[in-house]
Amino acid sequence: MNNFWLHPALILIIGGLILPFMKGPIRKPFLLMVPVLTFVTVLSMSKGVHGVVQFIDWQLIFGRVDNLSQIFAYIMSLMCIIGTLFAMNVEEDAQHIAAWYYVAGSLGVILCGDYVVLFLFWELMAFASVFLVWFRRGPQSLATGYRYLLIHTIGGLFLLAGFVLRYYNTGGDLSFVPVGVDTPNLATYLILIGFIVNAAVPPFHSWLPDAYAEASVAGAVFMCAFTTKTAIYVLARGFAGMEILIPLGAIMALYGVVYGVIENDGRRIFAWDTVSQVGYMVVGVGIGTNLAINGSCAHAFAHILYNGLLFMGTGSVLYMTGTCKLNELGGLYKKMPRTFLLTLIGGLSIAGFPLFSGFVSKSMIISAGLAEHHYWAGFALLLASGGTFLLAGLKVPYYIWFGKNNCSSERWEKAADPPWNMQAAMGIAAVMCAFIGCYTPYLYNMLPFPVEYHPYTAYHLSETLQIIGGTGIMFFVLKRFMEPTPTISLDLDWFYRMAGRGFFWVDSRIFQFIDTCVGEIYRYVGLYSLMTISRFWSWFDWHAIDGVVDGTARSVRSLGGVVRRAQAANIQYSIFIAASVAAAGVLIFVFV
Amino acid sequence: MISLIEFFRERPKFTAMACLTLIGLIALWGSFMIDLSHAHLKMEKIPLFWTFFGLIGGALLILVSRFLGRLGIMTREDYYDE
Repeated sequence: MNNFWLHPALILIIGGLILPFMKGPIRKPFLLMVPVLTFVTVLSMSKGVHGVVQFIDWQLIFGRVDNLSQIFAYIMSLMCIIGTLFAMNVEEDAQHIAAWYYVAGSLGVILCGDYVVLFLFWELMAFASVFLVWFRRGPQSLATGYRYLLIHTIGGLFLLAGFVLRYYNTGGDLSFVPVGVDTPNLATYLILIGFIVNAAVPPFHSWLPDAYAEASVAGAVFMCAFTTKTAIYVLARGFAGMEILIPLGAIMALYGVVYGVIENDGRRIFAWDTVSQVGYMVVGVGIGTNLAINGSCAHAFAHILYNGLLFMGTGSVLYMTGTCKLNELGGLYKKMPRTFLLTLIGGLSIAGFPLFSGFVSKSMIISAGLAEHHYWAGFALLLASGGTFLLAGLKVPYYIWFGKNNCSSERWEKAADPPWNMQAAMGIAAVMCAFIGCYTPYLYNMLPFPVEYHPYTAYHLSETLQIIGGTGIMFFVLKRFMEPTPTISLDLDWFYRMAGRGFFWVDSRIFQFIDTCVGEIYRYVGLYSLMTISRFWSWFDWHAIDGVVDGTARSVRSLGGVVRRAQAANIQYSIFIAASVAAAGVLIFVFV
Repeated sequence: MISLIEFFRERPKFTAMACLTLIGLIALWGSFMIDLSHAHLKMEKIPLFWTFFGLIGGALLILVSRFLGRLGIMTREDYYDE
C-alpha cells in the first residue's frame, strides 16, 4: 500500500478472528462494536483510489471509492449492524464469523478496482455464506448448501474465464470498468453470466429460493441482502445499458411473483419476492440511463432494508413457532403483535405503498423505462408490483397473522414476540423503511447521479393506489385460488437435482452392473483359464522337469514330511532335537 | 392495536364496504380530478384505467400461477426425498 488505508472488510475479518476469544459480558458489546466500526469506517472513506498493491505484474486496487461504490458500501455495512443485532442471541461464534466474512466479501467486491480482487472477494462471499445454510442443521441443509456452492462455483468459473479472456484480448487489462456494452464479445458474455448467476437472473435463479428458505433464521437475513445486491452493483458498474438485461429483468420480476403465488413456505415466498424485486434492478441496469441507474441503486438500498425486515419477521415466526409454512399458521396477530406490525411495514414497503420506501425507489426504474419507450417492460414491472402487493401485502400477512388459525395447540402456546434484540433489529429496519419513504432527500442525495425526480405526484399516487386497490379486490374475490397448500414447487433446479440423481443412477446401476459383469466374466473366464494354465504348469514342473532333472522337489517334499512329523511332536522333543542338533554342530565345528 | 383489529374483524361487512368505498373514491379521484398529462400512453387516460389494470392483472397472476401450478409444478413435499 502506498499509504495507509483501512479497508472496512478488514475490520470484519479481524473481528471474526478475535470473536472466539470474547467470552462473558463483553461478547455482546463486541458483536455490535465490530459492524458499527465497519460502518463508521465506510462513512469516513474519502473519494478516490486507495489501497493499491503491486503484485507481480499487476496493480491490484482494493479501494475504489466513488458515488456508486459509496452508496452500496453504506447500505451493506448498515445492514450488517441490523443483521448482527438480530442474530445477537445466536450462541455459535462460527455463525457470526461466517456472516461477517460474507459481508466482508461483499464490501471487498464493492470497493475493488480490478477483476483479480473482485474474484477473490466474490469467492469469499460464496464460501462464507454457504455456512449460513449449513448452520441451520436441518435435514436438507447439507445438500442445499452443496447445491448452492456448486452453482456459485460454476458462476465464479464463468467470471474467471471471462476476465482471463478479456485480459488476453486487451493485452493485459484487468481493471473493472464498464465493459463496452455496444461491442460485446465472448469475454463480455462470460463475465455477464458470472454476474447474473449471483443476481439470480433466470435461468440461473433456482439457487436463491432453495438456499434462502433453508438457511438458518439469522443466516437468511444476511443472505437476502448481500449476494444479489452485490451482483446488482457489479452489473451497474460494468453492464449499464446492456439491452438484454431489460427483458431478462422483466421476466424475472414476473417469474418471482408467479412462483410466490403458489408457494406455501413464508420465507420461500419472500425469496421469490427477492427474485422479483431484483428483476426491477436488472431492468434498471439494462436501461442504463442516469435515472435508471439511480433507480436501481435506490431500489437496492430500499430493498436491502425491507427485505431484511421481511426475512427477520418470517424468521421470528419460524424461530418462535418452529414453522414458516402458511398452512400451519394463522391468527398470530394476537400472539405476536409487534412482529406483525413491523412485518406489515416491510410488506407495505416492498409493495410500494405510498410513504414507504418501495414507493420512492421502484417508481424511478418504471419511470425511466417508460421515458425510454420500453413500454412493455414498464408495464410488466407495474404488473409485478401489483403481484408483489398480492404476495407481501396480502397473502403472507393474511395467512400468517389473520386467516383461519391452523396452528397446532403446542405451536400456538409457543408463539410470542421474539427476544428484544430481534425486535430492535426489526424496529430499526422498519423505521428506516418509513423514513426513506417520507423523507426522500436522505436516499436521493446518496445516489450516484444528480437527477431530479419527484415520486409524490398526484398521478403517480393515483396510479399506485389504484393498482393496489384493484389487486386487493381480486385477492379477496379469488382467495380460494390463493389458499396455501402443503406442496413444494418444481423449478429449474429440478434439472440439476435430477441430473445429479441421474448421474448417481447411471453410476450405481449401469456402471455398477458393468463392473459386476466384468468381475463375473473375469471370475469365470479369466480366473478359470488362469487356474487351468497354472495347474498344467504345476503338473509339468512336477512330473516333467523334476522327474527328468534331479528329483530335488521330491526330496524336499519327503524331507518336509519328516520335519512335519517331527514338529507335530511335543515341544520338549522339539527342543531336545534342536539342542542335540546344535550341540552336534558345535562338536563337529570344534573337532573337525 | 389488537382491539382495533378485533373491531374490524367483528364487522366484516362494514370493513369490506369501507375498503371498497375507499378504493372506489381513489379510482374516481385518480380518473377525473387530477392532471393526467404525466401519462405515457393514451390508454392511461381511460377512466379507471389503473384500477382495471390492477383487477385484471391480479386475476391473471393468480389464475395463471394456479394453472401452471396445477400442471405439475406444485407437487408433494417429499418429492425430492429418496
